[in-house]
Amino acid sequence: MRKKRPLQALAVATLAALSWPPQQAAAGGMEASEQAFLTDLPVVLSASRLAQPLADAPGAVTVIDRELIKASGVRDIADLFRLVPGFLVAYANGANPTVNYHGLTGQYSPRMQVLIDGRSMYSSYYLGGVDWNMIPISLDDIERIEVVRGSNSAAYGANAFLGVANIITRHASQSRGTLAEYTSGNQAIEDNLLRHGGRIGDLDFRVGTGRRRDSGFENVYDDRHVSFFNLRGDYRLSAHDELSLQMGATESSAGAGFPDTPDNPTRTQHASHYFGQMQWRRALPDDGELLVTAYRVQDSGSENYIGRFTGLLLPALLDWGRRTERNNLEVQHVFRPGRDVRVVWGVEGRIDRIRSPILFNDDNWHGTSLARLFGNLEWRLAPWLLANAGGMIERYSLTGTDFSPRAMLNFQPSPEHTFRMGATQAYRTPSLAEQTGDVRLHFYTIGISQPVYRGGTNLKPEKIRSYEMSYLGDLRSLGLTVDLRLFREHMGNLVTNYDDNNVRVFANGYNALLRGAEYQLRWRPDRETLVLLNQSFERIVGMEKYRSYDTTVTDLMQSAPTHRTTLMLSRQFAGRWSVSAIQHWMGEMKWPHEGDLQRKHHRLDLRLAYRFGAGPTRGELALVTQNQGNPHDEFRPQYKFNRRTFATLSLEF
Amino acid sequence: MLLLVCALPRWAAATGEVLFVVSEDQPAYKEVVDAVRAELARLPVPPGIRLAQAAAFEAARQGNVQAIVAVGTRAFRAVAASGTRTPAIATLLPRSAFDRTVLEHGRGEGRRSAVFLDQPLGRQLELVKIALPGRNRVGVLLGPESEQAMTALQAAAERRVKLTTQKVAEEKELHHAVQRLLAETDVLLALPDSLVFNAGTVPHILLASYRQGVPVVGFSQAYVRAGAVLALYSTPAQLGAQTGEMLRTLLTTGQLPAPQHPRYFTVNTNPYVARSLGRALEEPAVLQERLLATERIN
Repeated sequence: MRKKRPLQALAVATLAALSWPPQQAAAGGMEASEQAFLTDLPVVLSASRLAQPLADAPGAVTVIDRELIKASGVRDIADLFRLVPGFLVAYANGANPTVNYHGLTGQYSPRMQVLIDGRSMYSSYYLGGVDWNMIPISLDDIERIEVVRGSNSAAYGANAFLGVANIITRHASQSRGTLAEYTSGNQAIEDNLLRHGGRIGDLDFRVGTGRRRDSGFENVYDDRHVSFFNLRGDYRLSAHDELSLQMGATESSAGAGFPDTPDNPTRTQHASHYFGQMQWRRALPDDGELLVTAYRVQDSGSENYIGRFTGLLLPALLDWGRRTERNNLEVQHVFRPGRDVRVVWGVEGRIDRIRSPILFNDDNWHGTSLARLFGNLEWRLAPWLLANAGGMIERYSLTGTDFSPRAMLNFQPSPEHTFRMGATQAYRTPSLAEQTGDVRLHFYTIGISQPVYRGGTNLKPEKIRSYEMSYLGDLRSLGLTVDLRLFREHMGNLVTNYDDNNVRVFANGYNALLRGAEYQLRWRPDRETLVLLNQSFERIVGMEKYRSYDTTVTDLMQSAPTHRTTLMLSRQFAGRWSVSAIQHWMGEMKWPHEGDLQRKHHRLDLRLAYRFGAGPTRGELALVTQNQGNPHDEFRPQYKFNRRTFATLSLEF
Repeated sequence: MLLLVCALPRWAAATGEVLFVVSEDQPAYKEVVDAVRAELARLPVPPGIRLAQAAAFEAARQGNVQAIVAVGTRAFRAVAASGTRTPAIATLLPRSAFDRTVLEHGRGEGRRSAVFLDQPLGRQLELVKIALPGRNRVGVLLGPESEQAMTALQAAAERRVKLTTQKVAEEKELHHAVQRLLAETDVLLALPDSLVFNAGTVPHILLASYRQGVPVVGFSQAYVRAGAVLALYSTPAQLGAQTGEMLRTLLTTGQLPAPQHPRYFTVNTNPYVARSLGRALEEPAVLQERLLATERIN
């Protein structure tokens, strides 16, 4: 049975309405004159559009560009992080990807920030983290992803605890014409995408809609249907001002639970995500910029089922219905007070509201507010020495005021070599549920209410002090980039939940010390070939429990595999064919909490694609196999990642 | 003394005014006029000056006008269309506009000359070589107005760089032409063409090039501000100075120099974009000096 999805219908209608805008008056017939030399042009590559040169960045950054996205053959944005050193990706069931950096977390990964064009995807619901299914864009909408490996609260605030992924979507002028894409494969994989971009006067626009469906792991109730719609308009107000408007929505339904498991029966989770964002960008002289971003995000979910608990299988109605809202305003200013100094500073304010009867045992809205003041000074002390000093002061209604500083020195003895060393301190603020949650089971047949989870009241924010030494080699003559990071991460006040008379209570529960090294080699011997080699070795070397009886913490020691290697080869032939192969080798690890031991395994992904047509009308046929070899366990032993094969046909016209 | 006496009648005969005709009342046109006048002021007996808009040219040319300076395409078209036999120097107009106007209205018995707004192609390609060493695959987008430059472009590219061109006949072809071109170039050289490069298309071209790591070389200051890594152009003052020099030659010798490309030029860079693309550029003044040096040698 196929239910007609209202979102999809709306998307198609909008798309149809916008698809064939009136042709612009032809510019032809005008004769060449001096106007071309004299006209003012919009400032396109202003400060926030320019990627900071990796050599000047105050930390290790991995860039995932469009070429890499395409060559990887992935269907999910989350899977791209398999190509970033130190990142762990798994499906916590087939429908729920989880991404973390350096372990310690399971299905919910609250220690990493994800931003789309500056908009936080970090959820205020439950334990925090990011619901990757809710990201309302397609892979094709992405210009690049800048992944900051390491804490960066100084620039991105609390929750940029261990890492940040900045997803930068394409300017609307970059998506012209119509793109139609269809994917089909085993495991009921069926995806589609329709996108159209054009220009009306000074407005560039793009509108897209798509759907991803699959049946997840075999013999697991984890089917997933995700559909999204998005719209972006970039409007030129003047040569120096541009207004970007974005809006979008995602709806998903996903299977959860297990048969014959009374307390966790099979059921379907529904979720939706709506957002609207407005960004005004004013280019100022000398690489300066003023950026004002306002957005609103609304999430809601529904999931109702009867769980049966205790030996008597007493029924309780669990209604995970929820709604969260976020309103955010940020102003950022970039300027150069001197030739060798660049300053970025700004303020941000946010109001989050959440209503979730099951989390708070009431029907009220619960709110938090956040105010931020941040700044970074980049100072070229000498041609071979760059200093970055920055920090953020945050006032969060739940935990008070925190300061996250960062200092980094970049030594550049020559343009090919950069050595960095620095230190930073960052925070993760506990979620409202961790702080004030009150989850109870209402056994309606006997009229008893049993508490099961309780917020920790007065939780302190998690704190990390991170030290890093890194090297970036840009060996142009060889086409080779080397990125090596050595780190030492001291984390304290980490939140866990311990058992207190059968009630799980959130509390600051442990400290952890991580040490490790990771590197990436990116070799481009010629324009047709890309070789990528990532390796990471990290160890949780110390763990200090605040409560000796807290057993949840013990598991965490193995939550990061001791080693990981990824090798990717990608090559284009004869301008039409492209082939890529990605091999991952993963050491043994234990997924904490809901997960289990995941044995040492390897995985090979292959992609073969053929491009046809030329000019505005063209297409591509791609065949992708994920995990070409034997099935491996993912997240839990009963989740077998079998070979997945799918074909994608895309047409552009 | 005898020489002076012989020269006198010429002076006497030539004591008319210089008429400036401008296309529009815009700052750039005025800057050209001011620079020409500064040059004229260096004559022992500076001629009188008259200023008119292109639309009012017919009325303004009455009386004793010994030379005309037409600033802008529209101004020069008005002058050429009048068929006047007064010598006229056009400037602040592209070479193609001058050539076409002359083709339509004739050379006025050899009494038409110009200082073009566009840089010689050889100079532009030389700058690419100097400023972006190692990037020798140069891509050019040609539209309806610029495609006639093809032959000259190929000649200029020879022994300098490897040239790739993409033709764009309609705006809707631009997107793919840019993609194709960027796939096989290290530098994108912008040549003026109102279909290919206008305020509406430049964001797309700059963003697409930036993503591919391909620097764009523009032909005006606005390009550098917008996000091109460098630009080569002549300012209105530089064009005015050269026009003034030509005018002085005309007034003192009676000889009208041939149409020419700008002799004075400016190199400007956007160090931020260059750095973000992973290249450090030389200072604009250094590039300009080195470019001048190559021209002195050649």
